[in-house]
Amino acid sequence: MLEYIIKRILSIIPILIVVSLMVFFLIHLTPGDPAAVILGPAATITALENLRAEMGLDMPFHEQLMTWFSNVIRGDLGNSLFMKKTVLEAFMDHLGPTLSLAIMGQMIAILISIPVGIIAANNRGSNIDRAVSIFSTLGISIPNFLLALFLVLIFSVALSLFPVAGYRPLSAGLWPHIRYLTLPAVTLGIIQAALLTRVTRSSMLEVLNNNYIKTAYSKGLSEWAVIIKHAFRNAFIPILTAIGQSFAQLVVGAIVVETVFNIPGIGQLLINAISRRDFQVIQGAILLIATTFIIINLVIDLLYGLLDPRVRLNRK
Amino acid sequence: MENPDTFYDGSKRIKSEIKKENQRLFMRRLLANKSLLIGGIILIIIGLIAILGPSFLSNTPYQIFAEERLSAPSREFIFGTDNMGRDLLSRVIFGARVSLFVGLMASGVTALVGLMVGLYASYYRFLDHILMRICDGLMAFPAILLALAIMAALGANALNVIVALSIVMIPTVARVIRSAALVVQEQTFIEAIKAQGAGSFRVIWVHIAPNVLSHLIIQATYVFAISIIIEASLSFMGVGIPAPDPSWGNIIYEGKIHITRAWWMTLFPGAFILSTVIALNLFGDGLRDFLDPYTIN
Repeated sequence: MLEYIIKRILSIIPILIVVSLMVFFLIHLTPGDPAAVILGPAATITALENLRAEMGLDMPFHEQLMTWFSNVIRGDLGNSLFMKKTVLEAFMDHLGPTLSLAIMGQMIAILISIPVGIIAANNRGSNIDRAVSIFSTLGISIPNFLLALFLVLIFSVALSLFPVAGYRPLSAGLWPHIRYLTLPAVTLGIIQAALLTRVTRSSMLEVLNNNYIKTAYSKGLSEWAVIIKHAFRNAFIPILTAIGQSFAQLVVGAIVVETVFNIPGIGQLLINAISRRDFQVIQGAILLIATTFIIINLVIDLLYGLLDPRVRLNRK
Repeated sequence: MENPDTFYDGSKRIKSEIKKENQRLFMRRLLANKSLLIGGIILIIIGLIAILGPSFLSNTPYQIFAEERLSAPSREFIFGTDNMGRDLLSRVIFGARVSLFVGLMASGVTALVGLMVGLYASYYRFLDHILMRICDGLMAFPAILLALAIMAALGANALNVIVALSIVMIPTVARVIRSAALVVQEQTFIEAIKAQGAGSFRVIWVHIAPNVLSHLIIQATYVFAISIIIEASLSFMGVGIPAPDPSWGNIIYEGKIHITRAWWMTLFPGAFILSTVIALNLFGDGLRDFLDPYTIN
């Protein structure tokens, strides 16, 4: 087991190096001089030179690369060019709303997908099953911002049940916080549920075919006792993995959906940074997000190995 | 003694009958495949709207009717008008051209480069390590965020959207092609061809490539669907197709602040995005079943 853990942890090092290299090269994708692009055509020569020095663009290429690496390893992602903050501070300031939204979305997704997936699997081939499969096809096809806008049209514009946009932090009270986050969270929840329902259904179907399920039925257990106690428990590990792996996708979804509702999260930070050409923030935020996801995936893999011994034995 | 000609004729007749029977079976499988059929029909309709639609329009997508700003769908403006007083029907149809063109180009470039990367990675070990590490790195970024960052660096225009989409999606296609190509290379006929002295170029392009083509076609369909979604999302966030050119995403972006007054600016382009993506996903699923009848869904 220890060997598996060490191997798996070491395997992310090359990926992290490639990822940080790519983020470094991002700024060099800009056609022409990034400093000139940031400051616009009216910039003075001294201002340009100052900015170049600040961004390290006046150094030779290999020195820029080395500086970047040593800074990143020490956790220094530079300063925002426009906000008087470090990139890390700006990121942390905007992380709260995004996480809050993603967690609410995940809870809604789990609440929908597990019962619906179980019911669909238990009624395989029926009309319920077909309706569920249409729901998941729709959910996988619809872009999240579009679903968000459709929900706004129905629940805010036509029915006036929820605010069209905006955000209240948790400090303004739990109820306003939830009320403003409901539509964005439901959007994410529905889309995520479409995916998780498929996983739950197929995972349950696999288990329901086993002989011990027949045994449980022939012992005279009730249908629900068999499904919950015997089938679902065994179908749960793949579902848990899918939930973990899709959490990254959910956070990205939250970042996009935020922009629909003007929620001051990571999405807004990125969009503002792009419109102001605040490259340090863009680079820092993308690197932080990618690194977090790599680590989340690592943790899920390790947990999976812990929960299911077949995994760690097969991968040796 | 029998005339050799009649024998020849007979064999020809049998051959043509076998061919006819095969065609009949092919058609029957095609018609039995509902996802392929429905997806295909919707795609053809949307394609026809994009190609032929503009010739039936009375207004250009840029023409401004200042007095008619944000007017609801009517006989004159079937889809209503936008915040600047432009005919929304015309903008949605020209938007279809832009969105479909970007999606088509992105999936074409992705399929081509993904095929090359996948094939060469599967054939040469030293390339495999380098190319697959690059793919791992690219896939570590969430697709939309990477596309967003690339757009921020390159600047917003249609060509850059195609570039960004391709960079984001090539790794997935390359991986699928690589693993399919590895399976093909295990087979004896590749060994036989190599033993006959075929060069690597010939082995890769004449013997391996055709055998991974069905995977490539299926992937290209899904990539097309994802391109439509990502392009719409980028344009919706204001970093995709820049104004005044219409795309489904940026029409919705412009309609966002007017959503309480002008539902049509969201609903119509949204319906087009949704039906295109659903049709492409259906078509892809159908194609997968059709090209590879052994996979169990």
